[in-house]
Amino acid sequence: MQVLQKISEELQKGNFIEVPKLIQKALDTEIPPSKILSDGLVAGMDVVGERFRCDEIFIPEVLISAKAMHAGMDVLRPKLIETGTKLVGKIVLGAVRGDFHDIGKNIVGMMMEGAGYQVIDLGVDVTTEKFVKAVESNRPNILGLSALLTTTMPMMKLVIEALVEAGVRNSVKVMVGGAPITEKFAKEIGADGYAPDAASAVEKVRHLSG
Amino acid sequence: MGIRKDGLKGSQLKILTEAEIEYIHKSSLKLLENIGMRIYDEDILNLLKKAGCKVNFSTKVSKASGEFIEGILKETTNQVKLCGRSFRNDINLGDGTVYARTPGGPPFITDLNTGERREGTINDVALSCKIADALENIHGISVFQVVPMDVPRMCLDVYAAKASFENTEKHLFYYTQNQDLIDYVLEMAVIVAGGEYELKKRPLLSGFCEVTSPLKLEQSQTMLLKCFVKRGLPVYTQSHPIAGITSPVTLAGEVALMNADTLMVVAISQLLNRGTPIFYGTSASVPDMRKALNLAGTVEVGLLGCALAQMANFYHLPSAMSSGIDSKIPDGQAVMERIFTALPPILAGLDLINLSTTNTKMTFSPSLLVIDNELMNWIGRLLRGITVNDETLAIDLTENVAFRNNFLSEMHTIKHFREELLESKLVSRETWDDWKNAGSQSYWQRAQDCAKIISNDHHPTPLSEEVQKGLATIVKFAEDHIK
Repeated sequence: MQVLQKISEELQKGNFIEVPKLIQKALDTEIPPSKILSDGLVAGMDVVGERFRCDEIFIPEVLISAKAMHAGMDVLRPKLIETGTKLVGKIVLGAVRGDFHDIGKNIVGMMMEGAGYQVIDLGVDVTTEKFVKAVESNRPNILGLSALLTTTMPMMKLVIEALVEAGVRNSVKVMVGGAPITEKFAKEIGADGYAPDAASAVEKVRHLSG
Repeated sequence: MGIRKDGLKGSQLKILTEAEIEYIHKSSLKLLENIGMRIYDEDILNLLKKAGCKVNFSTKVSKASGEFIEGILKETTNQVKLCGRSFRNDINLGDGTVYARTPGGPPFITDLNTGERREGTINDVALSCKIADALENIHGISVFQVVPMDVPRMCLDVYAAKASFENTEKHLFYYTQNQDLIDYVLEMAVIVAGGEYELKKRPLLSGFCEVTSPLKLEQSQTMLLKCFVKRGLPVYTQSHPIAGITSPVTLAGEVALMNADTLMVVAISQLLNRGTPIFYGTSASVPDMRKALNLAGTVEVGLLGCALAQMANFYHLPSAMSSGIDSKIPDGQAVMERIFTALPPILAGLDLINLSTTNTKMTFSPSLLVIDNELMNWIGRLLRGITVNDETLAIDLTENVAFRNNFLSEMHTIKHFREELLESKLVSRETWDDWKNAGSQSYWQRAQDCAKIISNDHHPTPLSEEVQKGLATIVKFAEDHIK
């Protein structure tokens, strides 16, 4: 399948203009959407992932490929849903109430898109209620909470408690991150996972999603 | 008085030419003119509008013309006085000497006894202030030198401020963890100073206003700026761009952005109160591109510090910058990172070096502080240079002694050796056998022992009972009213 090979190659180059065009071309030639996903996009991201793990490429290069993946998925996702293909998953992200730092969260979001996840980013200073509503309406696999300040860290526990109260705690895996966050803190507040940086966050999410 | 640098004899390390400084300056002005800064503060936006800036109240963006910025820069002072509880601890930033301080932020501490990393406590705030207070080359201390994780989270500011005022006579640098407590902390400073007027005359506290690069000013930061400026107190501003993440990855672009971030706040400070003492800081850094995580101790940080020193000098503003360490412990890597991020900026004319801690600003290490103090001694000796005059050339002496004897017992040697040769109690200079017999200690272990001795033996002048009660009352009030 030449076009699928081309999708993989252009994705590896981070060509976010070309990849959606090629996806459309592949759809027009009636290649099944699930095959375009597996042999085109995912195949490309697998190579990217491997090169990243070997330190051949770094985060910026992964991110432009993720951008191309995201652009490709915008075209492909509706077709995948139509044909009933199981999607990788949905993740809701946000910085907790009182915290306006978003760089880390944004990078995590971009990496997740690279891994094929649909990312709903609630932004910064997100209230507990807003997190709960987002979980209820989007039914994500993962809820990611970020905080950079020692004063906003306690909000993470409040979000988890609110999920319990709303009866949706078991429907979602909660991950936490941010510079002052530790594995120990994550366990203490009842989170399901923690990762120290964006790349290992993707690995952890994959692991939690099963 | 800080560390003198007469030995440089007027020369400085220059990594930017005059033309490049001018080019960067013009580029920063272009940023402010073309896209401006997003400022989450109606008062300040109104002030900027009144001063003639183009303000969009719905996007909260204020642009600023080159003429406006250049005009207002003329209002700034080139020296900033920061006072301690005792006169001998006063800092005159911009007086041509070099000062050092500890910055704030680490929620962890390397335990002095076990050497293990653990969460910081309010006792650690007291202990770390005491140690810094004793070290002659640490001139100022951050209120959050260690962030206490064992006190009510919303009251961090007042707890840390009280413990800091009680345990040091040196100047305190304050940034806010909870903006609702800014006035409480200022009230504490008033009580310690003995009155509003006394505090203004001898500012025991300076306030920190940080721009979120690129070009965004949050409400908590403007609140602090306004509170301090209103009382005529000194402020320091900085931004923290990270190359390739919140600024262009090319360092020149990062410097131009850092400069734009800072110039806007300097301008705002003068609009709020003409003549506000303000100094130009930075925490500009670079990331580890393998993980997109911030780094504090790279050689590029040193370069950025040099650029900052030169840019601040261009504006006749005192400069400050954060030297950092990514190593998790005070080891060889830590010292390497410290030297590369502290020495070049100092040689480039930096006025104040922030000696930030291990583990990329996350872990305070008492032993490291002792090592840093020693490093500043070495830097001080370097900055004293080589004095050349008839006395130091000592040609007559050499002619007398050359074929007869050695110089050891000459009066000239006795007169000069203590000043000429830096004595260093901390580094190992003994023979192998002596070192082995004394316990084969590493530099880190000796620093740790020194920190332990200081923590036991050093006692800053206590605050009066009345003042201590006043501070305790404020803490209690905060606990009852701030949730």
